[in-house]
Amino acid sequence: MPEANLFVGIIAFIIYAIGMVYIGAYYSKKQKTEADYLAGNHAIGGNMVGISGISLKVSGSTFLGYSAMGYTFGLSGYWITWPLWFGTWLWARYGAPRMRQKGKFTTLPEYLEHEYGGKFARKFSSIIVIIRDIGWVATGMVGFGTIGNYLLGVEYWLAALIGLFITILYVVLGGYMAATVTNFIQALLVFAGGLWLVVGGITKLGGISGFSESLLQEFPKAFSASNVPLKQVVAWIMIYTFFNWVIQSVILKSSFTAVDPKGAMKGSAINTLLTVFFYLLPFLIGMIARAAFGADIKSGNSYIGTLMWVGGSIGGPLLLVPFAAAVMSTSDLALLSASSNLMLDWIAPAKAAKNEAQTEKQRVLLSRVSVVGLAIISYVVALLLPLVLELAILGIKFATVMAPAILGTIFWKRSKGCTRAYTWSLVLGFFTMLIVQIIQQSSAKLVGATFVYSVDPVVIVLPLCFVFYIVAVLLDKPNSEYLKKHIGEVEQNMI
Amino acid sequence: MFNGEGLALVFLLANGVMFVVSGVIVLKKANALPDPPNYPPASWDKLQLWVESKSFWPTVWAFLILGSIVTALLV
Repeated sequence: MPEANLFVGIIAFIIYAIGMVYIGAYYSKKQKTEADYLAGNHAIGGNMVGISGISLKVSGSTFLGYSAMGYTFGLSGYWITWPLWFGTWLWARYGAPRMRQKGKFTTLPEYLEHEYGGKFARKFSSIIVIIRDIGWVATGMVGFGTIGNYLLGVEYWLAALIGLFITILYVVLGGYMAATVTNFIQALLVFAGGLWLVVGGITKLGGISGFSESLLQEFPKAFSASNVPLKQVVAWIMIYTFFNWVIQSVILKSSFTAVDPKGAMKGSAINTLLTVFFYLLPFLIGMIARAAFGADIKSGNSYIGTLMWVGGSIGGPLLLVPFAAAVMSTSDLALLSASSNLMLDWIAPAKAAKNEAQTEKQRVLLSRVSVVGLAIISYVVALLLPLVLELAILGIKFATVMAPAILGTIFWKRSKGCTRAYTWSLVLGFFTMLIVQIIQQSSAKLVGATFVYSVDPVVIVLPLCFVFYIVAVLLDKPNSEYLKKHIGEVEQNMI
Repeated sequence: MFNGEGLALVFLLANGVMFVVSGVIVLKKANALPDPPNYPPASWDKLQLWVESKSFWPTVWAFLILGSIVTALLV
């Protein structure tokens, strides 16, 4: 493998970082209200929602993880995209436009409170979302630390700190709009970088026929559909169908910020289409690595190996910029999502309870401070906890307990205003997940940085959560206080 | 392991087609919806106006095709 040219890598990253901070500075002047800062004033167009949304979904770990999957399982690893596609499609067709039509929301707990009522449930779900988001920001820091250390020889803690600092800078300055525009540019960079690797790798292997011949020589079952066990495919479907939208509050948030239901639907449809291509690229890169290196490379290094092999000592470090872009584009909106929850679900109600009036300027300032505070917590988590990826996955698992309640707001009018049913099914689902997780954890095996379970807790708990929710709603009736508050509100689930 | 390797492979590859077709159907449905009054919003800057304009996607496609050709020639 050629040695990375440190100078080229640093210069490319500095140019990229200046560009991102410039965008932050440009949008900083437009941050007049809390809605401007935390939700782009709910006025973002469909193309922008869709393209920036895909880059927040695709993180650094997507590139490393999916290329490892392509390397290990060959074509059959592509089963994982089936639920990824289905979840996003379901969200585009039904979720995004219907939720956006109900009003301008900034956080998922805020939306759920609007649909069901219940201040306790709002706070409870807010904690789940904040922990999940902190986990994601921390994985981004780990991505920066690892790649900076591995390729450029920068100390792990320093590389993570530099990545975090640039992200904080443009997020604090320009808020949601800056994060969206940088995500848009980051998506283009990630796609261009991935395309460079795929087209370059296949060309180097002698075109498509050369690529498939080399691959089959190294891995005779590369094009088999059954290298992945059926049990694993079922677990992927259960987890990832909901992963894209129900669980990733940032995806929900991006649809809340669309200019109208049409923009939310269009943005999510574009996201669906881009999912196909964005997840295919790292997957193909893994297969290219298998064809080019065979057993000479570890599956986890297939992305970096291909990067240096195709890019060489100059192109390789240049291709680090799209990787940094993939990491930052996930961390920035996860930070803003956590900050929105902290502001709207905790700080604002506390201020209101004390009758402390706040100007919009003060709210924007407080939002900025909370971004910095949450970023520091994420950095400490990234440095102190050895299994940060596992923390992020745990965050996702616990967030799945909200899935039935979210689906209920979209598909089940009967559930509207059933505060007790929502609260109890949420709490019951959470503690069931906690117990099953503890039981399953004891028999799980640690492979690399993640645990492999005999049966993933989500596979057991998610169906139970649906049962809890359905039974609870059938037993409950709409809260009379809630109905009084929302009198005259007509359901418009027509799109 | 699945039984019926061929069937599984056909199903897996058919998903690829399904992904794109279903995405395009929803996109067409979204595009058919009417724009709200006062669209585009006055707050949009030049970048947003261009990203939401009709010339945006043809530019992206041209960039992707040209980029692929240049990469294949350079490597």
